[in-house]
Amino acid sequence: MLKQLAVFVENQAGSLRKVTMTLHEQKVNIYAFASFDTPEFGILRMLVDNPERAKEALTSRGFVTKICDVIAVELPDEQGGMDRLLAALYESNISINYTYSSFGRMSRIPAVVLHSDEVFETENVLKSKGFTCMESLGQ
Amino acid sequence: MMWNEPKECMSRDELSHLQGARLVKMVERVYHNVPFYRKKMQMMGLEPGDIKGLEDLVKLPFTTKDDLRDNYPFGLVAVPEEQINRIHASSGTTGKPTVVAYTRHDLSVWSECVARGLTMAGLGRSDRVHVAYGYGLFTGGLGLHDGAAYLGATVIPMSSGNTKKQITLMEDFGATALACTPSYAMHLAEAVVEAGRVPHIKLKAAICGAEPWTDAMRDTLEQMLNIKAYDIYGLSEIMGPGVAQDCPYHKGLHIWEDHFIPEILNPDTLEPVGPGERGELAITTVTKEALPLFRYRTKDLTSIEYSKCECGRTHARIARFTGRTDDMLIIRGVNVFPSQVEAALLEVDEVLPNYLMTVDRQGNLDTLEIQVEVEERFFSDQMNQLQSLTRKIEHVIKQALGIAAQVKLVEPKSIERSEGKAKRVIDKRKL
Repeated sequence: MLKQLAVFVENQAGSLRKVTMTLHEQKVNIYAFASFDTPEFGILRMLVDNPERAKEALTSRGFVTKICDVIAVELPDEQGGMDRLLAALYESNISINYTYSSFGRMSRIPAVVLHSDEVFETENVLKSKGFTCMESLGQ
Repeated sequence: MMWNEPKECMSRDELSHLQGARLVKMVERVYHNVPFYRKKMQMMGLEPGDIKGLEDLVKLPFTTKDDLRDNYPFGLVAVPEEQINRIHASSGTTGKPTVVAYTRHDLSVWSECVARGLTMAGLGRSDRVHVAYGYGLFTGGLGLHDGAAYLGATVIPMSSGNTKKQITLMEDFGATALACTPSYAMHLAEAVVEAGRVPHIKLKAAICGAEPWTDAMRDTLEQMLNIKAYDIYGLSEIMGPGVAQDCPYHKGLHIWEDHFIPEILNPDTLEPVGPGERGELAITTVTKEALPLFRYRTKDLTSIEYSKCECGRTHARIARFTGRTDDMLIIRGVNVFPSQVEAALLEVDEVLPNYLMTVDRQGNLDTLEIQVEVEERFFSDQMNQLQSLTRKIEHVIKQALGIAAQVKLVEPKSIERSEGKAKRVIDKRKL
């Protein structure tokens, strides 16, 4: 399991930049980054090397943030990999709330980041089915 | 044309005499039947006998919306329960509505007042009145309905909503008059023009009220539908629509002084101001049986003109309203207080988030957007949770206000604060 940082941003020019600028100043490294928007607001989700420091810095700048657990699953770059992962979740009756992709910085292996209501249980299921779950994208 | 010429054209002397006589009787009755007023008068050292005529009106205590709320629901009623014939209610500042009651006679006076206005607008027995005010506890629908029926016209009780159907039936039933809020009249007019149905409708007049509007809006409405439009005023505490209405000369709204005594007060000192000077309108109801009120402070700002009107009527004319002395907003004909929004937000989350209400008019319909600053305790990393929070807030606000609002979540500290105090309302409508 990894700690993901979610930030509330309004859907307007420059709002993402305010976040990245803050992280840059704090020398926080972003491993994965995904933004989801509605016409009015967006949620920015990130995996960073130091989520606590990032949260503190963003909160002091007036952002609303939240840290929560997500899973990062290694998915070797081969055909059918994503389908196998989703099939495993489906067979175990696990619904996922959202996914996005990144990769392990040391291993150079692609990673799928996913969130479900029962993160702990989901990770155990995936491990039992032979998937490798990462503890950090820095590895 | 006049509905009741002897009353509508009484000389000022006769009118003052009638008002004085009715006031004396009313005070006597209220003193003996309404403990709230009796106590108030006793505290002021006032006895019914001290009120000998119109000149003594200023000795009487004021009444406010809070007094009605404190005596919810029927504490100020001056007649035995079995004489109450109708109840209406309007939204209150917090939670509980303001309740008003009518006897059979009160309803008949109300009908006559509305009928006077409809006649003033050139309507009569052969007309068909399309009532598109909301029906129900709100006084708009049933007020115009009863008035039009009293007039002997054909009443088409449409109520509000479903613009397309309104237009079809207006055309098919051959309505000659439309009664609704001015913004809804504009909305209907636009739809009629757009559909190219203007030559097919028979409307000749629109009676619009329950929210502020301008002469420019009236001109536009009149030109769009080739009709005459009239401004009707009222408030449920006093009666409902029909307390006052303008005549074809549009030189202010004739307030039916044989039933209602108007006063214009300096809102700070509560001293009466001179004729033509602007102030808060207070009304004393001299013929109301079920809910007679002394000097009810309407919080509406206006001025008054006592000279005889070109139409021949002598009843004083109040100018178009220029604002309120409190923070009440009228949105789509519905009274809205920022405190209601606050209470609704507290219902969703126990701590009040920072919010901003923006009222605007798009096309001709009022819109209400409520920005709510997101706080950590209700922020989620999941879009559907934030959206369901938005919908939940919209739902409680709709429940509380009776009108829909669009809720928009915004970043913390993004709502401007002036002098440390948050600004709660922006009204962009140009009225």
